[in-house]
Amino acid sequence: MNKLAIQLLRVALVVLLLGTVLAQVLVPVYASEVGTRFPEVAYLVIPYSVAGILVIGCGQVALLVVWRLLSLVDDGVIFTRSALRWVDVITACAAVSTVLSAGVLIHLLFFVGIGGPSVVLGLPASLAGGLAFVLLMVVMRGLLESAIADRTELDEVI
Amino acid sequence: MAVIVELDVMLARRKMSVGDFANAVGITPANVAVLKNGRARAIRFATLESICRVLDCQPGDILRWTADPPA
Repeated sequence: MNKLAIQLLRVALVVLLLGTVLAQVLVPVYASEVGTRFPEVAYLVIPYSVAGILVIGCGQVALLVVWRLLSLVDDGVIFTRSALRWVDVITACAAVSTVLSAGVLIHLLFFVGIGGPSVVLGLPASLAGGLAFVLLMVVMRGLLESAIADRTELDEVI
Repeated sequence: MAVIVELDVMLARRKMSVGDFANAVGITPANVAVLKNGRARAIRFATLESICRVLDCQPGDILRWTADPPA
């Protein structure tokens, strides 16, 4: 019943992964364009590009982990303790990318002193969004953990 | 385990082998062994019912409670 959904999700993951690779290429291109147009921020091109590529990299790792978790679902072994480790990787990726994006926005706003409405609004948005996602993952990890406990106990019933 | 599954006595009385018994009840011989050596932690009512049907006995004939020895 879930087979089709898993296959379609895998296709979507591949598309997303290709999209993130493209985005990683476009980030430094766009950054250097901005750097040429506004030479006063040219020194930010490299560090911000690195941060952008890293944030996207976190997303790529998370996508690969989702792929791995899908394989576990497919093999019927999602309710085993090894799955928790992979969920932790997603949580860590989300935390790192949240800190990175918030860090860049804080630096831009308070240390460089540049920022239009998009930066001012982007900072709380990325902080709240990232935090919400991390906490959601923590809650879902708890659900998975209790499902694993239930499954383990049920396996002992004769 | 404070509750003991006494299958040996009933199996001997019905002259049944573990393999035949497992087959008749519909559980694996490995699980029969788990029941017999007291490592079972839980049993379905459906399994218990099946055991009683196969052995033609009551649950009380195969389940016995003993007080845990003081640690």
